Amino acid sequence: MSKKIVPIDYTGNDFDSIKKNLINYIKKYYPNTSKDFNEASFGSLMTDLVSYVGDNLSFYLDYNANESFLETSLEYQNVIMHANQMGYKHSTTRSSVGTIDIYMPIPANASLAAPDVNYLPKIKRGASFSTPEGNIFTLIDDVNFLSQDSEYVGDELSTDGSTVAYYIMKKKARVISGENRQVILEIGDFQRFLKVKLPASNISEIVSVVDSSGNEYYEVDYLTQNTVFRPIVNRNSETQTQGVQSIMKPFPVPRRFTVERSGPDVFLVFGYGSETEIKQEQVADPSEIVLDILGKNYISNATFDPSKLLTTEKFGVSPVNTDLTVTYRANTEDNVNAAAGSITTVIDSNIEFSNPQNLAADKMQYITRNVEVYNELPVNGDISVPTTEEIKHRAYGNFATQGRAVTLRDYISATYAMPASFGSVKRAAIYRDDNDLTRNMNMFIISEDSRGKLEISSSALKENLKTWLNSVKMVNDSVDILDATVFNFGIEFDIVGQKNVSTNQVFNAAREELYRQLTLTVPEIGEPFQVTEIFRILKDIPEVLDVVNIKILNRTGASYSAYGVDVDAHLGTEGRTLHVPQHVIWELKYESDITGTVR
Amino acid sequence: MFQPKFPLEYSNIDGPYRGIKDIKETIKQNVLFLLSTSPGEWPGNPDLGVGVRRFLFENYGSLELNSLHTRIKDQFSRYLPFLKVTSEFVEKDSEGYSLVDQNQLKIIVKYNIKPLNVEEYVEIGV
Repeated sequence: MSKKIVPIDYTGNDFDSIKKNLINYIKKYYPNTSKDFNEASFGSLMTDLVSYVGDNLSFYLDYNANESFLETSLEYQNVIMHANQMGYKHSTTRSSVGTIDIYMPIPANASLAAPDVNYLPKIKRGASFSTPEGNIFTLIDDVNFLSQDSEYVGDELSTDGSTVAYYIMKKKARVISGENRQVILEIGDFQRFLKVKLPASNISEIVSVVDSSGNEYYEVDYLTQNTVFRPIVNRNSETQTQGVQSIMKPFPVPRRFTVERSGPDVFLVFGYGSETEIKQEQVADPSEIVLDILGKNYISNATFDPSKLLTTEKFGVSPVNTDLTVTYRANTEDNVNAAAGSITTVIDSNIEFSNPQNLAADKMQYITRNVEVYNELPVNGDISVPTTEEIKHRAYGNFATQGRAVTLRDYISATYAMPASFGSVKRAAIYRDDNDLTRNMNMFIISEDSRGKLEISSSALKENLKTWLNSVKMVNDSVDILDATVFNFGIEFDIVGQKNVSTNQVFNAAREELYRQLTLTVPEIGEPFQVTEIFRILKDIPEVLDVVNIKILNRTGASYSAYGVDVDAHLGTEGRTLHVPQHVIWELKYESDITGTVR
Repeated sequence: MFQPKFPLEYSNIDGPYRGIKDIKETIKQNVLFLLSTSPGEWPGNPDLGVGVRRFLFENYGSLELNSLHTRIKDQFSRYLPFLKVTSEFVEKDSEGYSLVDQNQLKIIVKYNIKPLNVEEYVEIGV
């Protein structure tokens, strides 16, 4: 006798559809057992109860299925977990970053004509400043007043008022919200993957972790990463003054940790290698980890033993029976932003003189006591906690690149992401070199000098950029880092001024407005220059009645780039656009480069 | 069988649940269910039920207590539309003593099964 196959409708997953299917089922298979399907009947109570249970089960099934994928999950913690799986690092503590001006008096030199450079100090990273409300900001990079971009902004006269005693120097510096604090953690016996909770809140960054023997532990994204980039002080005074304060060096870190966050709690997670393994090779010998070595003369199992791999220090050394001094940066306020002009108090100037033994103690004290700060612009940051949708988008973006430069755009992003202490690139462009047999890529970069003018990037910066890009570069990509070529040009206009305005006034207004608008932003490398933009700017000036003619001129010579182009040959149709080669960046260098006649 | 008889009991004929085989009896059980069920109690149907127990502490003769009749009419027209219903409070017990004095409230619900043209009633204590 064949088994009776009862068709079950699995498509019903909500209360109404399950109830409908149940009633149909009862009517079909138990027509004599239950006939009363009135909503207030006992039979209806039974079907409603079963439908209720079915609806609940369906809900939790749907919930589990939805929460299993990043795309469909809704719970905040689940979204973060999925995003973490995709390599996204989530932090609930927000920071604001901005620029402040640091002022200090520097004694006049023997001739009294300039500041004594011997007293120009360095304010070291970690110096802290605050608003009157107590919102603390910490200096991100060392600020060296010896560098070229220190400005002289005033002076202090001697007590009798006859001579200049001190020159007031100003330098811009970057600060980040929060202050550095320390906590000491007692670490006991060895533990695999030691996880230590920091007894503090509002932690935005772990600055350093040092054990009682002085060994430093380094934060890595994943415990498998065994190299970090460390800045080595740049001793080359030539490139140092060009903004490259540090040389980037890859540094193997057998002692390392990752930071895990769970809500407001922050944990340090260590690997489980031992001290002795540091003395051995840094990288595990592949011949020892690939296969089990057995007595028999054949191989039956070709799988490698993962635990063998793990017995190396690859996950880093775990601290044992020591005290860890953890320095962390914590926000002091919930709102970490500061309005313009509100950062005015120096808490700790963290000042360092080059050769203090050769300097007068009273002058050094005077400098230290009279350091002042002021932020011309507000210090803003993203203080809102990202929504689940934002986290999803960030995770997708993170997963797409996986911290690697895959597309040309990735190389540009990676270049701009290099920390400023290694030198900053103002503009970068990258192109595939079609003429090269190896199909390598040419990256063109340009930097900016202290006056905001384009200048060729220093060799130290290029060296740092090479090291930086090597960490994200695909293994078969080859990138040549080249200097972009600056094309300095001038403008000669022929305009008609308003009747009631003097020609001089019209000329000055036209020149000032042209210069202001054309130097608002630095163009991209290879970006064409829109000649029509000059017409638009001039026509918008109230003193200008009409624009008769515009001429673009080459500017080459002592203070300009040696590069020149045949302007007429590079002008597009109808002379609207000046096309420059892809390695060239145009720059209107000085206001005096704009000349013209006013009718 | 129309539906299991409540409370559930074993039957030698029907098996685990004694069944109701008379249409008037099944309607009566439905009427009792509808009167006794408090709103929100029924799974998946929070509107169902007169919920006579909710009126237990209302003052005798108050507007709130009298709204019970309206509630019964509304519920019957919605869930048992084939019945024509009237309801009234029972004032005295079988021995003629006032139920109010005994702190009791009883209601008698009379209904006419329109397709059968049969008059039935149920008496329910609140």
